[in-house]
Amino acid sequence: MTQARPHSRRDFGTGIGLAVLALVIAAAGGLIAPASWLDPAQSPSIYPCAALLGVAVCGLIIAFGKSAQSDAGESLPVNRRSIGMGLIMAAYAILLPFLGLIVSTLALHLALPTVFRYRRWGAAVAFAVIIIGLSWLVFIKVMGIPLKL
Amino acid sequence: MLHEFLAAGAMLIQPATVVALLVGIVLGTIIGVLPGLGPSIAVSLAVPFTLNMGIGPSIALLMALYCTSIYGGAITAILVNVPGTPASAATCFDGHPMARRGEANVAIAIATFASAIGGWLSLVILALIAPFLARFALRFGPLEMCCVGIFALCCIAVIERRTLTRAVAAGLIGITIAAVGQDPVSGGMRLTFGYFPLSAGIPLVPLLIGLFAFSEVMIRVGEIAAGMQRPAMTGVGFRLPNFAFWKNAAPLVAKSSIIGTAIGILPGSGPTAASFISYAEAKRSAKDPASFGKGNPHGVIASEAANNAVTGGALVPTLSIGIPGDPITAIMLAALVLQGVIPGPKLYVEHGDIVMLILMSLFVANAGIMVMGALGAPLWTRILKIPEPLLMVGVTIVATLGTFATDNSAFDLIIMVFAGFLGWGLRALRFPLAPLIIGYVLGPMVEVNLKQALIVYGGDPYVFIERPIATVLLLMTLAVLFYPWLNGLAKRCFGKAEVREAK
Repeated sequence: MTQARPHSRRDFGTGIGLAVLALVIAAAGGLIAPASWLDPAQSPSIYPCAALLGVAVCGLIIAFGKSAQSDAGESLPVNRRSIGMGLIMAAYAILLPFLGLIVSTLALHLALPTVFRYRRWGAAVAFAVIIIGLSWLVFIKVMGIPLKL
Repeated sequence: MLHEFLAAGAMLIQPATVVALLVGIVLGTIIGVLPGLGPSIAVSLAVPFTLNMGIGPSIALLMALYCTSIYGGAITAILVNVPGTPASAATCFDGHPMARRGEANVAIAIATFASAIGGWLSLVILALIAPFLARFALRFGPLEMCCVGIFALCCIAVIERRTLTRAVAAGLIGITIAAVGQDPVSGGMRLTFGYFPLSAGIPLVPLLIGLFAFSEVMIRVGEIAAGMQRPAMTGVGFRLPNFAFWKNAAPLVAKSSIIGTAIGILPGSGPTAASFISYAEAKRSAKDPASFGKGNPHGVIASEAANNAVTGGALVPTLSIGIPGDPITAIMLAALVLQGVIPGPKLYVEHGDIVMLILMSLFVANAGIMVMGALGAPLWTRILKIPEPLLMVGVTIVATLGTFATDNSAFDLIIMVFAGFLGWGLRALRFPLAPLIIGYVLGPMVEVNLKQALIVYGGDPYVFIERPIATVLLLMTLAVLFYPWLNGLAKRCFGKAEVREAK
């Protein structure tokens, strides 16, 4: 049988944060409109509002309940480098339509030594050329997506 | 019947039809492998080409693309934990852990075999009882569809019993994400925050790519930075488990195929829902449910047999009554109409040879999955030999281009980025992602049908007495929800009885 574990600070923060975020989204999204709930079939807000209230309740259970189940699972490392990689990928995705395939993809490869400590430049350049070539062939030439080269 | 069979066979062995089948099998698998691209893109890209083809080659091409593009998604799901298609998201849970412990070759072989068997079993159902099933599916009104959706949503409780609170929260987050945009019944806007592009809602492909591909790269970088080295992934090739394994897995393959076909027949569900429901059922009925998510081959079988079985199921209403069950079959319906074939009840009488050709093409395409799996696996699994930093960058590039290619929309890329950070945050805080996808896929189905049922029946509870299918579905939902308590109660009762007998 699973043993109930004491609550960690992280669970408390996660639960409270989730509950508050759900309520803030419901309020900011204009979902808290009780007048429209009188006709649930026509109300655009009742369904997502109920879902967000459910999220808030789950958040409170995570924060205060002593559910052994909610504490299970392995933690993943959270560090600056993973956030940095996320920001680099975000920049790549957002700038790709404006800079084009070649410039943005080569720029992404510059992130390799910084983020992964990967310094085999020959392999990186060869990989960049291959992936740009294949992407051009599949996505631009065959599928005809309107993306700058 | 024999005449139609021979006529279809004659069309199938025409050189142009054979070439179309082969091209469809190869291209479909490649499109499925590329994250972001799936069967809808594969089929819609092929439609303009079919206009210049005869009926035989065009049907062969469409059917081959449809089948193999769903299968192809499993390969990236297993090798890099990025589902090639939404339907393969559930394959990630056990396929990738198998690859990480050096069994990529076994995982791909299992996915290949399960996909082909699932496709074939659904074909048998399509061939034998399609008109009857199509008429039965017509009895599913909004109330029944709402009950199906609620039943499937309750599967979250089965999949993630270990992290139940977090799983329910993730499922509700998925439902909320799906609710962004226009209300399907009243047309009112919700959760758009006055930002117009959100009025069309959050599309599935960027959400899925962000949640899985984007967050996977971030997590891997974090692990490398923290000095957590994963064991080098090995297992290049294609290694089919022995006969004893398949003998043991046969009931699961059959059950998953039936689930996939049944879900495929119901309109608005599709392969993604089918694979998750089948996965949940496999986990519920397994002797060791705790091993699911850690590389249990039965998880791969459940997901892959079900998602490929949808192909036959989805064609049941499309061919029998002319009502497509999902966007992919809608495109195929349009392609058939352009070829002068009008699907509907008369199709089986007037164009029996065409129905037979569709069945034969699907049969050969499913056999093609086996060939592509066996021949292509050594090539696909070479991906594991690429140095990890380069592989991560490659995943980023292909995932981004695949997302952009879906609708040629820069806004989709922004959604992908947000979904990536959301997925990373949720995974870092130990929230499972499967319930979020289930909530996203099934949330709109439940909402629309619930609202329609409220309009039609006005909230009258006696309607459940008048509609027995809905009552059965409701009882099934209650059984799933209270299964642990019922199981515990039964064990206690039987345990006491055994003790009394022993005394």
